Amino acid sequence: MANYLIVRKLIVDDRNELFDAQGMKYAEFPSDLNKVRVYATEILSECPPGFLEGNLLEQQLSELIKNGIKHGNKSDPRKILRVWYDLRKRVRFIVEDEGEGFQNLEEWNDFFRRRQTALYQGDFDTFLNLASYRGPLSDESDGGNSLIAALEYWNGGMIYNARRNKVGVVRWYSSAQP
Amino acid sequence: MKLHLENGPAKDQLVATLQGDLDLYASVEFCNQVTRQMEAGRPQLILNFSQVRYLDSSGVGAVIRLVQKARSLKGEVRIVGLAGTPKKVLEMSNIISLVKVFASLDEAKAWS
Repeated sequence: MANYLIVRKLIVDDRNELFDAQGMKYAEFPSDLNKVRVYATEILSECPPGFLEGNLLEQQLSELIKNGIKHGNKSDPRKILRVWYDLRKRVRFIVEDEGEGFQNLEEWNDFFRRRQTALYQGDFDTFLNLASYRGPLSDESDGGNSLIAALEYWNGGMIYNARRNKVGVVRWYSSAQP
Repeated sequence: MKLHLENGPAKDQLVATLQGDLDLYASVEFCNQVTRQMEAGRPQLILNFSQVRYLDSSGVGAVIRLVQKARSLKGEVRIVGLAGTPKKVLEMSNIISLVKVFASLDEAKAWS
């Protein structure tokens, strides 16, 4: 029997249903990097407790907000971060910044495929070297792994628009929630 | 976040006890402080996470850099008290495979 490694990847699809904001709530924020977690907490203030999973949902939402503010809007306070959210039955977000978009998306997918292949093959030296993604915009405080956990966490999909400055995500819950 | 550094029972051991959130606001300073001690002759690092409730990608990045530093100094990284979101985030990013996880500080100190 042949063994295959299936590696997830970031997908660009302008017409994906995850960008349908009908019925979703909306909030917008100035690009203040010091308030990333404040914004996430504010959005989740009305979230059913069963979706929070401790503070895991706050952490994953904060990563989306941080990426938009820092890498998209370059922490320019004149630029707005827009968030659409729906916390009924499952958790859905659309996060849009005013930046130039994630231009290294294909390069990131290639990096992630090589990283997961090394892990799958038990090649830990290579895996350790590839553990963090370093792109042209990375700095010391960038962990280089937010999208890796995100692909796992957003189990119903993680989709970028064609301009790559907007991401749609959804997490489904298996048991009766909340 | 508060960080307490102390020497372990072995002469090359460093125990780093964290208290609070290891997030984008704390991770760089945390990593720099621990790295300096590792480079001063203590590359066997024990991270005590028992009082950490929040870990984000910046914190995971700090852990990765410390694993890389330990490896370059012929040491390793052990983690104690991992639970909740920090545990899930390290699992989702596959970084759990790069560290040795222990239930108690005594076990981590004694293991060789």
